[in-house]
Amino acid sequence: MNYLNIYSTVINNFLKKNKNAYNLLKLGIFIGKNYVKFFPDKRLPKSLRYLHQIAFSWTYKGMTSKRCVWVNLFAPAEILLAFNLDPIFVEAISAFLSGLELEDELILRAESFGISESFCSFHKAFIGAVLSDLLKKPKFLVATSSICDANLNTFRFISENLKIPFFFLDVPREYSEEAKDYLKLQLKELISFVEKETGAKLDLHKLSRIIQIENQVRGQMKKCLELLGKKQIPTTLTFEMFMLYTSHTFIGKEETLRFYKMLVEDLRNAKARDKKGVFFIHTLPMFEENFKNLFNFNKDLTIIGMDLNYDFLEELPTDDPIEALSIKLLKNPYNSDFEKRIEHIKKLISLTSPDAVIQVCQMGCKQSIGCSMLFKEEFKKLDIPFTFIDVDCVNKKNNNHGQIKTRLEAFFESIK
Amino acid sequence: MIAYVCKYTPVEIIKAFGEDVFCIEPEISSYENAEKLLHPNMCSFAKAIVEYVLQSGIKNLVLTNCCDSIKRVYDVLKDKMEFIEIIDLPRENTPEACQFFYCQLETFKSKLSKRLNREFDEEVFRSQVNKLIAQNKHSSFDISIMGARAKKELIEFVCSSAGGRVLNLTCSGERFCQDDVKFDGSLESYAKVLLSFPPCMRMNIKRKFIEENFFKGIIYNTIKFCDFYSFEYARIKEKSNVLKIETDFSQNANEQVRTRVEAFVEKTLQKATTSKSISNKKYFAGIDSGSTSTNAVVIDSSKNILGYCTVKTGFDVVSSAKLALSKACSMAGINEDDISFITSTGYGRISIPFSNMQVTEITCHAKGAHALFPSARTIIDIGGQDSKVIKIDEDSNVLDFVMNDKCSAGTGRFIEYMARVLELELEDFSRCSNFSEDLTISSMCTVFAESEVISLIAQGKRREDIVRAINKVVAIKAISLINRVKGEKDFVMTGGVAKNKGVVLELERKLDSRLLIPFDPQIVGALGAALVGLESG
Ligand code: SF4
Repeated sequence: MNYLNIYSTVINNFLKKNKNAYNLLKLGIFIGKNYVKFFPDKRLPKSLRYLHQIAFSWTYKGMTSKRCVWVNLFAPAEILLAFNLDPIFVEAISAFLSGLELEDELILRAESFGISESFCSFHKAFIGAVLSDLLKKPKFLVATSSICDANLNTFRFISENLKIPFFFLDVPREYSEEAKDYLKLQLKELISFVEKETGAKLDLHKLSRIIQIENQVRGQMKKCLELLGKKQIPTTLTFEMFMLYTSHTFIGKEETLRFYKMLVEDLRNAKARDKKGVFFIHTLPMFEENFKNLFNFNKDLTIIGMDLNYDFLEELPTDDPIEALSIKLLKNPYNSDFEKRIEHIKKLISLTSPDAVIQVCQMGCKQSIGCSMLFKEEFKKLDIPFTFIDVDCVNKKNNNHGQIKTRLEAFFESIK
Repeated sequence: MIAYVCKYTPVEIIKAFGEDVFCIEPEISSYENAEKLLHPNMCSFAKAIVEYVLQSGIKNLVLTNCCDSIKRVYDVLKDKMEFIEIIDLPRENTPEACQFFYCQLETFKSKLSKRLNREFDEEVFRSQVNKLIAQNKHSSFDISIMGARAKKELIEFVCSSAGGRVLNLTCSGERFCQDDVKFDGSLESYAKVLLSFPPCMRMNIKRKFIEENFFKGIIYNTIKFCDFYSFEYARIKEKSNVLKIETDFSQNANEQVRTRVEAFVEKTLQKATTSKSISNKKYFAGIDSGSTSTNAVVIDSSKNILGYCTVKTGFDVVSSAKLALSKACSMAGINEDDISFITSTGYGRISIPFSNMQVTEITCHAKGAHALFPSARTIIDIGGQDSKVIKIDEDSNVLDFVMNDKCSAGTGRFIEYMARVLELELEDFSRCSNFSEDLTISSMCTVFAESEVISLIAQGKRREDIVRAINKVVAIKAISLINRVKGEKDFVMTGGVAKNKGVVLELERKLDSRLLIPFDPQIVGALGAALVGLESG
């Protein structure tokens, strides 16, 4: 048994006995945060080592600071950053807890409370953690209706249960002037809400500075996309997932810009791609054994990218941050119909020319699995090998390893 | 003819163009076409719409972006329709949301006018909306159906069981305004009218009707893969007047759902259905027609059990019932003609033509268990295909009850299946000593549990320990039902599985209490039925 196993057994026992395990969890992340700083994984390029550090330290802050705010992946965290708050998104927390082998107990807790078995396990593990008092109460909650229905459900539930103030942004599905007006009004209300909760005033200048950084980050992202098709760096599924921090909640941070610059550098200096490159749609099963074996530092295959890490690439106006944020929310191709989504994915594919595309059908995620058959048709037209696989990225118990192995192997056999 | 799905659809605009409009109530038997277009794990309602639209050749469809599933329905049907629209419905009813929605309605109106090439009749529009506003549905209903969308057939069934006093507040139930709204003939005020409907869970609006709780009973419907409603159910599950059911759109409401609804309505409105008149003879029979076995009990007017019998339920429910009854009569030493009143219960109760009264097995189990053990407060009944837990008071009134949902986990069928995998006889499951290792099977699902069992066998684990692990799964499943009704001592266990000592032992261990087991655990329902008959005379 290694240290991690012992640690997770102890926390699991705490949970089973209904004892508060928050301090234990806090200690664990603290150790983890320092570990990756002082003993980085030597196989990784510099940029990813840096990503490991910043993702860990944001998680630590988001889970322990007095100024933490829980958000969904698409919430306009720029506003929170401008108030010096410490946002953290649901998926990050549950992926973290799953990494610590706690998800089973937590999901059980949520389900025995009455949350349905078919609900997304990212959200369910999170709800379980909340019900088990495993997390520190945040200052407040912010979520949007964009892309996924689970957000309203989870955040409303938590707000009612823990009696925490909650701000919900109703994001229309199409970009239009009326939609923008409606959303801009809500964003202004959000700002007043945060001002009330924190007692501070928003510094608009700071917010537009954040948007400026964000624009620069997107510039670097585009460079990455061009290089990803030609070069390869040693990476793992976990790092592609960590990039959700830098492509969403923390996109306006200086550290993020630094990371992408380093990544561009690493890619430039990397050797030309000779492995088969796989592009992922929607998410990555970073704890699933077969996927881990196939993709982490593998000699034949490499991860090119995941669409969600490049979901919005337009330049935003910096003079009017509210306008900028509403454009970003409304023009996200995943918020509207399939046509916009596939158009966007096609662009990413043509930039990175992968050898195969895999859609990971996260258990319970209707917005994404509802597109599987349409993806299949589209990729057939494009003549790019494509498959979709049902995997639960959080709840390992839901995965039938033998079946996944066969499906993956058969898929790669067919494209040899 | 234009089809729609969501109650927020601006039906009145469509009518004002002189076009017929109808709400899709999908009646389908398989998802053959739908599953070519949609992943099987989508909600059954979404799949049913796709299937229905394709099968019935609907060409004009109006949707709203009500949920993730419906958005994908739009995507997969988009190229297959002559006219398809998805209206952007806000999730709030603030003035800003109304303003935004008004713009959406304006756009929809102009698209429709282009499509139909017809005049918009202001008069018709006004009168339609006024008609809508005039409907006030709040008072005078005893029972409400809430939660996810329910099949028409289910709504009708509940209505008929409850004598029509039922209000449909499910996801896309009846269209009426819950607040007073003024309508001045404009589209702006029409937007307000629509947004004042009782909100479904995708709206970020308070659901007053559930907070106020003025219904005697709430039947709460859920659908697999529609997660919205489990959140609300989790919140209200403690209320005593709520019954949760899970349905889908692929089949007719199954017998189990019907039984539970009927029993719930009986409990809520306190009524039973008497069909034939009663004569004055002194023997009473109860027949429990279950899915795997049929049981009959004969009693006299002093409640003495004179005869009883259990037979397998064959294809023909009626002849199994006749057989069980005649055997019970011969044990009692009487003629079938001497029976003055027959009460039937169980799945097949309505199919037995010679019974005088039909009562659900919930009520009957309560009566029967109470007669055998007056101290009983919680009845754990685990039969061949389903399990239930019933909580009763000292007078055998049902306080609460739950049943397992569709799957067979934790029932007799589950044990039988596992016995086959282990190549053991059912009796072996009762032999419960000699354990060397505490094994756990984590999955409740029969299919997954089977593969866990197989891997335990492959690991060379001892059969006794595997058997115990299986018995534990059954016990855990029962415990979760017991917890849901907050079961209290004394516990009575009935049904075929009560004969399995292994399960009994595990349950006793977990409950930290002894279980009372009737001399024949399978006849309790039939006994209760006979007693109900006796008391009703
Ligand atoms: S049942 Fe649920 S998932 Fe299906 S359409 Fe209604 S709200 Fe959406």
